[in-house]
Amino acid sequence: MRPRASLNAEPGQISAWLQAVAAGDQRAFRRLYQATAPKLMALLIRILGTEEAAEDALQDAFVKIWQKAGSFAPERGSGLTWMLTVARYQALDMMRRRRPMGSIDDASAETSAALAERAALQPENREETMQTLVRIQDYLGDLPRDQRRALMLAYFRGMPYRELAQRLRVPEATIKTWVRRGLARLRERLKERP
Amino acid sequence: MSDHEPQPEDTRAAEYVLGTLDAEQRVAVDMALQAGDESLAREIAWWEQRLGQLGLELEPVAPPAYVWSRIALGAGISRPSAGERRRRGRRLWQGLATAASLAAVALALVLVLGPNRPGVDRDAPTYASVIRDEPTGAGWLVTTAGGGDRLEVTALRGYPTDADHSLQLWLLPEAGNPIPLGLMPQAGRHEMGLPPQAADALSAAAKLAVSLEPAGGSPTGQPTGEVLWVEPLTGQPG
Repeated sequence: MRPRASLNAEPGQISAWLQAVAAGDQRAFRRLYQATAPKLMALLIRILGTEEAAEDALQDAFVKIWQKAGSFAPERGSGLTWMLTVARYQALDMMRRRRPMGSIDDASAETSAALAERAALQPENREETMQTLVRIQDYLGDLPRDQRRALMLAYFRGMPYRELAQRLRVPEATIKTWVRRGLARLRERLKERP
Repeated sequence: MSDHEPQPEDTRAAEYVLGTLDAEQRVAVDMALQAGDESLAREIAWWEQRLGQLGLELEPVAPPAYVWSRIALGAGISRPSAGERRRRGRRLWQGLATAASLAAVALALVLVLGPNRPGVDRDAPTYASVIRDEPTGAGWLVTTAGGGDRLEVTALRGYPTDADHSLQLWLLPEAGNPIPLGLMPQAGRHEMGLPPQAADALSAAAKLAVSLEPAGGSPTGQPTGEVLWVEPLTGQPG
């Protein structure tokens, strides 16, 4: 199993590095990578399912960050969240290219199965998955189970409604209702947060 | 305004960030953004920050060391060692200017001398580059030859490696992954065949890079070791 790493930079430092990167500072780019790559890697593995695919997405995401750091606006939010968004969009683009329109591909199904199997077989991973799940559920708050599940699947898989409906075996109209109600409740819950 | 709270009736921005829109709807949002819809852009940024928190909850995973080398190549930057960095920092601009002018001179020489050299097509050498290591004086002259289907790499001064490592040359296209070209010679002139993919990617926007790889070259087809130098290609005018 790959070593875990922690984020070793303050949010203000990440924003400062991003602004330096926008000015072409290679040293700041290197430090930004060292401090944040493990976070982005974790998200990419979660979305794409394999470390190999996550490494490819991480590479493309950081090249984009190098090229587009100037578009980061500190007044709109944290630098790390902006970077996670760049990485997530990169992963979703890869998934869309990988699977045919309107269907769930075999790779996605295998990925989910592999993750579930790994989580079940390895105690350390099972603990990590449970702790992560608890933190995510805490963030999502008291959303009904169906809404929470639909939001999590959508966020971590980036699936259109049609595919979410197939995956959860419910009508498309139902999944739209779950997601939109979940988003509405989440908005109410999060609007006071920074 | 430091933040923007989306209007309750509009879930389009949130669904765009979440990824649940179908392709047609997603394109419509992209077009609205390109058309300068600031309100939509603010809503999307609001949701990106909120939903992005979900990603923060995952346990970090350290990527393998070679990923940084690939990123440095993709971004068109090199990663010299600490010692090299100190030495090179002082002469960075001087070195870049020298390398660029050397490449231009090299290209001019090849173009002028080409017809008199057996086996060299006058129309062939359209690109040249000089890869130089300022601290040691090691360097190579790289030119295209044979109508663009091969490279000639001439060692000006070798850069010794131990028996477990080789120096590998890569073409960095304007877009896409590095393309492996061959191993750098320590002396003399060496020809490398250019795969069609590399020949098609030759342009003034492309670059050459050299990485330190296991003996015989990268086992993966992509750089796995430290990227030592990245240099531009100088193209024939017109």
